[in-house]
Amino acid sequence: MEIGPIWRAMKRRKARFILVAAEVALTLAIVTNAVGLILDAQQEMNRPSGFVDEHLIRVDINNYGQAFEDEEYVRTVVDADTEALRNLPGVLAASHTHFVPWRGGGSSGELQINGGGPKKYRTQTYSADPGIFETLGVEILEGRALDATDFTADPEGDQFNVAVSRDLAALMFPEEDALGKSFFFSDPETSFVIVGIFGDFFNPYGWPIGEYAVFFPTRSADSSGHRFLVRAEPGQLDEVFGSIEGALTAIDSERAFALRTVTDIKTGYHSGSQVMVKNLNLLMIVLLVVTALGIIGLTSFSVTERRRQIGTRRALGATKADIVRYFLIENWLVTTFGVVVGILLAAALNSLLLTVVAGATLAWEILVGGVALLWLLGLGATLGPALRAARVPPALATQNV
Amino acid sequence: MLRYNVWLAWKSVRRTSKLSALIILGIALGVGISTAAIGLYRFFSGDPIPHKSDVLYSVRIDSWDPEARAPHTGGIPTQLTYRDTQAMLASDIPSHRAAMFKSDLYIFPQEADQRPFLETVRVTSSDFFTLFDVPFAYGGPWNRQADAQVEAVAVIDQELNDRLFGGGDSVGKTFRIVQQEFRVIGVIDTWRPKVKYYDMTQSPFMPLEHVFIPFSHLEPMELRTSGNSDGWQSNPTEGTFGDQLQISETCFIQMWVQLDDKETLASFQSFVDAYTNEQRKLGRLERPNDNRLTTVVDLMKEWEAVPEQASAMAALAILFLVVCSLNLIGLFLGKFLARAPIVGIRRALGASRRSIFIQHIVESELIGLLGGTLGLGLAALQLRWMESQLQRQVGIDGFFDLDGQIVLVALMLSLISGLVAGIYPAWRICRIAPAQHLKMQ
Amino acid sequence: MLKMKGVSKIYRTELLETQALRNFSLHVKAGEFIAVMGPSGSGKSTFLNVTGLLDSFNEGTYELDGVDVSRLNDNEMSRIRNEKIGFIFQSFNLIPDLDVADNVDVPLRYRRLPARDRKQRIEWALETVGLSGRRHHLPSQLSGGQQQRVAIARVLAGDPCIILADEPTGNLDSAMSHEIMGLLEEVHERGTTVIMVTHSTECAARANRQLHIFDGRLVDVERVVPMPLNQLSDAAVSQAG
Repeated sequence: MEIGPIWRAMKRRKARFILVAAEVALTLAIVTNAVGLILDAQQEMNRPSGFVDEHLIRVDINNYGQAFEDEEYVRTVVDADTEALRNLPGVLAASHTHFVPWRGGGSSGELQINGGGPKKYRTQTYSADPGIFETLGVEILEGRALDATDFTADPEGDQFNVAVSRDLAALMFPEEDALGKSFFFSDPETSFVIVGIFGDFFNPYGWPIGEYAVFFPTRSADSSGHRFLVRAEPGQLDEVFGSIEGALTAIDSERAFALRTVTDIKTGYHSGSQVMVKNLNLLMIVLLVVTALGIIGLTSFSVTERRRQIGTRRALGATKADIVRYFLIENWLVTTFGVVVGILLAAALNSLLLTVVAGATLAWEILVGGVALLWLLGLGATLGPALRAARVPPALATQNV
Repeated sequence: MLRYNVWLAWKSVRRTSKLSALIILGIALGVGISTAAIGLYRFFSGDPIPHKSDVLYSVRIDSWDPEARAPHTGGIPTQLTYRDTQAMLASDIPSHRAAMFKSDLYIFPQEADQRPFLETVRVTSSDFFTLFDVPFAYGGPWNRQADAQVEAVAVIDQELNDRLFGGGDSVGKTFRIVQQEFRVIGVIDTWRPKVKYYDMTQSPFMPLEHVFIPFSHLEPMELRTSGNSDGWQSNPTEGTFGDQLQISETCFIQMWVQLDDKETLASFQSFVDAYTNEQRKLGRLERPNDNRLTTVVDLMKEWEAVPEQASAMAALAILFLVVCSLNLIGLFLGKFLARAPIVGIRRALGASRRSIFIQHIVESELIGLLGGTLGLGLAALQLRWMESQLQRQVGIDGFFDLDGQIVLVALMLSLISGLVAGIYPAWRICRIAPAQHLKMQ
Repeated sequence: MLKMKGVSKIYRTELLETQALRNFSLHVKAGEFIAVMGPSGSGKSTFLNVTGLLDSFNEGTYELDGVDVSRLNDNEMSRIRNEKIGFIFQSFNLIPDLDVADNVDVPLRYRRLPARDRKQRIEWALETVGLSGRRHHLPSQLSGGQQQRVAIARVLAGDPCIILADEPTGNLDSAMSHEIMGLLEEVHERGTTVIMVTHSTECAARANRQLHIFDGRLVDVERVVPMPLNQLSDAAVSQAG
């Protein structure tokens, strides 16, 4: 059978075919955009931090004991805590820092390059002891890690050594080597010298500064409490998690501890996206089922309505295969018409969605995949009713109603 | 006649039970998924205090760096500095006014065997409770005098009341916050706005606080915020805590006022502008005046309280419902036209086109309602599932509970999709000529 | 042309068994015009369905145009229907969504003929039935007689060796019946074998031979014009001369 007469016959029954085409068009638009959103979300969720997230535990310590009013005592406890955590069996490294990965925020500031004019750069800023890079599993790319000498620098002094992330170095000094350069925050009297550049670093933030970070060698402990990041050896996470509180309570028990694995924090951070991905998957599956049911329904109706015509065609010499082919071609034409409109709709919906959701423009691969999927879906859904049509006996042609 | 039509529709549904079940399932899926998505969207975007959201205003002042705009979405800081807050609290123009921030503090229960625990405390003015219509189970809020005299009184919620005192009327009982003994003056009844609209600075969905104490404790207790603090200058280090607070440019305080009419709004706006003009003369607030009084709903928009995912899902789900309706047009067309001979007889027996049309619309609406009811169940299941997925982030039980409005939305959607899907097929069937199908019998 | 021997057809349902054709034997020579008559339910339709390969039969043998069709599969039967048999139905059975030309085209499409050939055949067939000017009309825009003429054109275009007509005038008034019978006779005169089931004795009278079916049996064979094909042609020629 050729397309010509099928097409001409379809033009006499526009309403129903337009219905299916519209359904296919909308389905294509929804499915491709849903897939686009899912892929964007997954890319975001799979984006590496550059740290050994799966081995990290965050330990928050909140003091309530009177003894912590004494600054000297706080310092002693922090040192003792650090020592105890590092010596725990299964612990690879630990750092006293106020940085927590995957919280969706942190602390930030605006810096200016010394002698670099008024331009300001916003970056995340965190205090940390020298153990931070080993704990996070972040590599020093240039220069050196912060060390004990940086850590013991006079807190009242006017110059500190710091380490910055590779992307921040590149942002501040796109042409030159950042090593040895210095910058300041609001006070030009206090400058910070870059002694090390590390990477990779990514920590999502409310502002688009996820890749930019400065680590200062400062203590961030005060009477109210302090925080550690602990890196367990592979496979030791649970054991370490269980033993931390005991080890720290032994040093001072008048404080409360809140432990959470970084994996857990990360899961929490992504839970919104996770739920969206699951919901969109559900919506897509149900939508495809509904569309398939719609095509099955309309084709069945079409077959029932055209039984006599099918009998006549059979009497005039159509084989069963001819009948099946007729319905498949008819559906294919409708689907094709639908996907052409659907591609335009998909693009329109995409630009609409991009006004509410951050994401990428719909990739052509997704559209091609969607078109192929709907072609298959259409043919698959038509096959059942078409086979039923092929079973219409040719003798039906001579029955007079 | 309607009863007759409903009876006919019911008979038809029963007779073609398989096809009807398919159609009902189709409507149920469409209504279910779109109701869940619209419900989700509405939870996030709905006006949390509809009866007075038009008189509640957040107060913001552009106190940022003279040389740069604030990096916040609105281009001005989202919070106030302590000294600007003091000036705002001094105005008598608003009928109610409250400054606030939150602080993580240790609570020491009276029972010696209970360990102290960390709790997020909202440090705020007495008007907080009147501004936001907080219901009380026992006692009530403290008064302005308690604010002024730094009285050690606290309002707690039922959950903390249970934890500290085992529930009941605990007004007058005491517990310790850090070093200070506080007396319970009121216990809040169930109060859980879905969006924490009075402080969206970290997230519009942070859990509500369980303890509230007077704002004036900030200085003597040397309280620090556990929320966001935004600064463009290093914090002062000289002098006492109070001295530092007085000159600090760090923004960490949210402020709300109630302005009951347009005149009050205008006069408070000019009061704020006059204040910033005055400060400019003193060498502060060098940026041009950009002081904003923003309603709850507008502020929620600015904070993008609706997660972008929820908007995207709502958009897709509505299109999904359209597909379902298109689908149903086809199924109804099949269902109705299969019955053409019978309709021919009815027409021959004197049924008018109009009555045939109505008969079929009634049938599609009946099916729509059946589907919608089932869909509502599906929506409830889906929302429950989403809540279990989001429990940790949202932190509040029953956040996604169906309410009357959602039920109404679902019923509306099912009626609309029943109508949309039924109109064309009903029109087609009512145009069957009376004789056409009789002849062939 | 057509040889049936001992053909039986039994319809079975759960409750009863109906023997529609009993030990039915018939021999039709090429070029005959046969009228088949009989009361309702006598088995005329079954006879037509079996003859037209629209339905199977249970016993006996059936040879059509030298081919034993008793053991053919569905596809082979379709091909024979398409190439050797032309059907004319009581209710015309035109495809309502197709215009006149496309309707005539239907069997040609199934024969997979090249476009040019099909076009010529359609032109010729429509001209023969006098509907060239209506090729783009839909069946619903034509009168009953015109529709049946389209059906005849559909047969002519396929150039079958045998035409099976099932009450071709049953749905038509007498003027139109006359016109259709005239056309059928014209086709017959071209040398095509015609078997026509009819109620109308007037129509039957125009056939060479009348068969009567009663209770599934061929009960009476009345030779009206016992004339073989070559003689028939001669007669037609002499008549024309």
